[in-house]
Amino acid sequence: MQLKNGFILREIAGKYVVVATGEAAESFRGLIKLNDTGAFLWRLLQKDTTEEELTSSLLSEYDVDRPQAEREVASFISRLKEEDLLAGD
Amino acid sequence: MSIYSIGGFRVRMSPLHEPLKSQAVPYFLEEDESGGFDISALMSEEYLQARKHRYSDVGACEYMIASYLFYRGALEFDAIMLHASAVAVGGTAYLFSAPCGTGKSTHTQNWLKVFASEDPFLLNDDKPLLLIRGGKVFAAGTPFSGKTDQSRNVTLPVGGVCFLERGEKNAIFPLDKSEIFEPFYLQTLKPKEPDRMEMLFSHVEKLTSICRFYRLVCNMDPDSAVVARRGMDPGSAARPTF
Repeated sequence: MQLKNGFILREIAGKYVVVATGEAAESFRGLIKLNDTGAFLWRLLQKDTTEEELTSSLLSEYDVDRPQAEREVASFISRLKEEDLLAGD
Repeated sequence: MSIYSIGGFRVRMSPLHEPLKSQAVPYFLEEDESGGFDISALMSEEYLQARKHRYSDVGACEYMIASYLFYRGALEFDAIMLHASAVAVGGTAYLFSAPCGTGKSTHTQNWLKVFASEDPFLLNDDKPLLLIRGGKVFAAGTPFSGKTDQSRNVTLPVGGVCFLERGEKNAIFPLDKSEIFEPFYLQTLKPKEPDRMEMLFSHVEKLTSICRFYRLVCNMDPDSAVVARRGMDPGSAARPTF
């Protein structure tokens, strides 16, 4: 599981935003706002990874329990799928 | 080669069709064969003919592509377009940005009426260019001023930028730095190249520090101009002329 190419994540005035460039910009003209954990997961998803790896990384980086981390990861991935941002989908 | 001066940049282009042919006239600088220019928006008739099917006609094709080339090129020089109606009063430019159909031009028309005694004019009714110069922000007119062709070839300091939305009562609210990027991004040219997108981020970030941004909720009454100006420039007389 990996993000499509062409998206840029930036922190601007304390907020995380993602915008599209190149081919990705043909189908995505808007902007995605992310919170801290969203930006953390986004960075990990720039390389091929799995839901389990994302959950483990979240557990080691943030003060959350496993069920909470699993929920966060699942909800983030379903949002990415809804927006059609994952490669190979 | 025709060189036009737009926002202080030497722009190479040779308009072949209306509306660009007429709209570019006030910006003509000189014929120069030496080739010195900052931004090129030069296109051949063949190039346009091959692309015109994507637009309503060849004139619209030329106008849209030249506009894209100019504003994309300007990003390299600390300059960025904002889809806005820019009105000038008392030597200062005030910008009103919003999606099409919200009432940007209607609002600035109110400024022209309400502050008529101060010789107001439209700097650019659709796509003014913001220039970041020495820690200050200026707005420049360009030939790319939309349907109404309301633009002047001048550059003025910016008094404020409002993101406009329709509402029943007129009110203006200063925006926090963190509230600016999203509405700005949605109303500016989005370059496809990652390096130019980085320039966009950098310019908007600078603007959040050196330019005042507001949310303006307004109806279409003349009083909306008074409320907007008082909000952006409390020291101004902001007195209507009627």
